[in-house]
Amino acid sequence: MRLKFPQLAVLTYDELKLMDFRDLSKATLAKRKLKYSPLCMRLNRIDYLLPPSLILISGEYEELLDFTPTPHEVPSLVDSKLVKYLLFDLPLILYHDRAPILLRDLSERFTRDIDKGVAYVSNILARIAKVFNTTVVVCDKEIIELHDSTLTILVGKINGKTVAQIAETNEIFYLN
Amino acid sequence: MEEAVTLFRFLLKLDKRVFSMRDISTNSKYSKRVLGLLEKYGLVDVHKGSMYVIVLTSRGEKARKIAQHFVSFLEGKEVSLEDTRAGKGREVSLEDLPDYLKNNPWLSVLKERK
Repeated sequence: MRLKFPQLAVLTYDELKLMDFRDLSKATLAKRKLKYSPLCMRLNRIDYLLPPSLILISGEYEELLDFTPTPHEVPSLVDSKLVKYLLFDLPLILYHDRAPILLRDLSERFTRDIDKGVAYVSNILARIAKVFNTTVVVCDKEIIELHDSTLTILVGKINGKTVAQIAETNEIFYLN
Repeated sequence: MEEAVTLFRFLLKLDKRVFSMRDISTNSKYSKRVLGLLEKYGLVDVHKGSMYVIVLTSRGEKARKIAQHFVSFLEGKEVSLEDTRAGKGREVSLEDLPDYLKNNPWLSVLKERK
């Protein structure tokens, strides 16, 4: 099995061992070699700059989906196909064309072991954000917890008006 | 006792789980001695490729925590020797999976890629 540098940078040693990949020195080199300047994404509706890390947007998120630059959107894959895409395909895509990432409806991407799937994807995406130093946004209509997110934005309605709340700072933005 | 002091001094300054010989010391004689002790007490696994990659075992990780807790104890801070889940996991590791993912069923996807 051949793994490329960007994949080795994202995969942990534990995961590499599960794949019987033994050349850990190559993986260490990959983790040290890939260095990028920050690539942030602006949330245009509230003029908010999202940092290069894992961000969760929960609730009526579609109201907020207007980004600059346009993110690379994770295709509508489910279960093991999603996990494989994130671990093996996405690092190669970003290596050749680095961009912020958008993944919609994470909690609907698993047909079994949903909580465990969400937890694992959260960790993978946080690693991708770190390796490629870019913003990764996960959107979900459900209120979910992403263990590795650094910022959570809740979108909902107050008196008929759509508002976005930055959970960590309690800042409120009206969208209309 | 002398070996324990050498290991204690090294574990105290170690800030990662995976490291190279150079991270031990730029003095190759000293780094070989420390590596020998780490292996003797089962604190590390050594992988030799184009360079040495040294990985703390769970026993090594425990020893490192004990060393750090000892310093906190001397400084008069409350310490617990129980494993703690670090904060909310803000700083994701590229080296290890967090404990809560170790038996995650979705890891089986990796075995399909062998």
